[in-house]
Amino acid sequence: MTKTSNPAELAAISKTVRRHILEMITAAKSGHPGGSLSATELVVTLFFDIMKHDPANPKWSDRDRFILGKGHACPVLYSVMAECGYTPVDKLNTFRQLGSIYQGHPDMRFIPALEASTGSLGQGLSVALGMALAARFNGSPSRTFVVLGDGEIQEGQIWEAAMFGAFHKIDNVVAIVDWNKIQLDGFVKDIMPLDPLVDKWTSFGWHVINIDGHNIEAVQKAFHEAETVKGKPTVILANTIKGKGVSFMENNPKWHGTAPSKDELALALKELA
Amino acid sequence: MSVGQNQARIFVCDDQMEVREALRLLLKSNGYIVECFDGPAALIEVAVQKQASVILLDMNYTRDTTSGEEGLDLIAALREQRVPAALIAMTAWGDVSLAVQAMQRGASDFVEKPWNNDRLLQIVAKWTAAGQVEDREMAGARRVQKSLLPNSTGGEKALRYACRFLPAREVSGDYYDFFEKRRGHFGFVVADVSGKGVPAAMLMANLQALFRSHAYRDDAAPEPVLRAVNAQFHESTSPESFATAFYADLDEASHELSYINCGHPPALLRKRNGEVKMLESSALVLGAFPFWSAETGRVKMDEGDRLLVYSDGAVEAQSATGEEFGEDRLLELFQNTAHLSPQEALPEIEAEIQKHSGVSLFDDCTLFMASLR
Repeated sequence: MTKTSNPAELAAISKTVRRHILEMITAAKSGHPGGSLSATELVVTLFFDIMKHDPANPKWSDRDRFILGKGHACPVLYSVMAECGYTPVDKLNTFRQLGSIYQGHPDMRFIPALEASTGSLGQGLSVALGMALAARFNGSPSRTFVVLGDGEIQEGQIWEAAMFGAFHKIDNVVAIVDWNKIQLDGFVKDIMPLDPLVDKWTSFGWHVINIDGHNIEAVQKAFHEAETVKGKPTVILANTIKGKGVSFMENNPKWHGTAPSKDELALALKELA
Repeated sequence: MSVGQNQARIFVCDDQMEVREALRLLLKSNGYIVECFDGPAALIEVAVQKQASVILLDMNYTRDTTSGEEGLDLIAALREQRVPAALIAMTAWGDVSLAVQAMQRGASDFVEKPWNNDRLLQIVAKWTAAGQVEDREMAGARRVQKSLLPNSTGGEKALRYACRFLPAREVSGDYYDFFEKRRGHFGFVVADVSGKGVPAAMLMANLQALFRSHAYRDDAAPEPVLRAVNAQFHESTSPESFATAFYADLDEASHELSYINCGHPPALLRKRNGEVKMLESSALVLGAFPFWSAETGRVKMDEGDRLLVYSDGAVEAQSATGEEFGEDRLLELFQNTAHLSPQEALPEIEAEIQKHSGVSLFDDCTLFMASLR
């Protein structure tokens, strides 16, 4: 893989990844497009710019770790890992089939390069903090990144983990909340509001960075800032749009967990040409 | 749903329970008998004892492995154990080079996961059918071979005799025959062609034809018969092909047995008083050399004397731990069954050999027993 810090190149990769996401979910006739599209720039920037990792040596002990707490958004992770060279791109359309390595939630029994099997919401932050703490004990420069859904952080375990991270001053972990304001079948504010979210994380002892999660330069800047913060963990609240990149999917709860039809896919791909 | 009369057995080996279940349901609903295993060890344990037409096997088992090495090792192990099933490798981490390696180690086919049900069924049907064609042909060959052999029991003449013919595979390189020669003479032969299976069976057919064309010559002595058989068998076979044989002629009036043992295990002659005489080899094997000479042995058989002629498969039959059945056991059984007629005694000896060697005989085995009235 070729890494890049060029925002235009990262944007181009993001477009390719969005096309993969839509194609694989359409092929599977099921899956979660909305939350995959909202997290695209975040995951692309991590894997292609920020994280130290080597697809040819996935078990390199000092690699940076990535955890997808919101495991149901795995199409974005599978697409990015495939584009990095971890897994075959031409098999992405076997998504969600029995026997495929691309299962409906990330499963490390099928893809050993995954750091954890995830998708039981709320657990990812705990896993990430454990890995980051282990790296500190081992004297390893490894950093751990975990992408959380905004719906996911309603889980009580998240806030238990948040207390743990601050108490142990785990500053080699970065949590990124894909704050797309929609969960499941509606808006987060109608189901169980998170506000005031910046204040919540701050009061739990975290360094908070509030950004536009689709602005690649802002995303890069936030990760660089996080690296400089010592003595406390960092959370990036990435304001995103669910279904980003496809006009008829954007900010529409319908596309949390609905697969596009072939016609809808064609329309979407036209927008992402 | 179609259920064939001869349901083929399929083994599925995969560490993922859901994959095993999906394959089991698919194959079962298409009329196959399916048995599932969660790893190489469990599969090998059963596959060496029970035959399947097709084995579907995953290439990766231990977590963190994507190389396919475990699958390659499994294929090699199954082939080493001579498991005859068609091996179909399945993997989600496959590429051309892994498929080639799998084929080189003995896989018959390669299926990528996720699999397409229709395509998989086609492949399974192809390989079970391939096995069935072979099975049918071999069953035919077995019938042909059986027809080349005489009725295995008899007793109108002075001798009462019985014979057991046990191929290690479908067909055998062993041969036995009886010749109602000119009045007052009874000839018989037990022979063992080098090798096993089909090549040996083809040579056995040739040997049978040679014996039948020469043994009926109006000549009681074994020597001219064997000399002629050796010359022609040598001419029509490659140098490494040969046969051992025990050939004898009984004069029914004088009860004198003239015999020649051509490199064959010694025949056992049990006198009525329990004493056993070994009729040892006294001549070269048949077909290996153009020249051939023999000394004809002569022994008088008395009433109640018994003769046991066997091929080496009987004493070399191996147990699971590699222990041979051995001459001592055979001799002991021969003694212990002396009160029985040959027809009754041979099944007992056969049962002991089968019990010793377990599932399958390593080598063809023929037993011939005769007693003088």
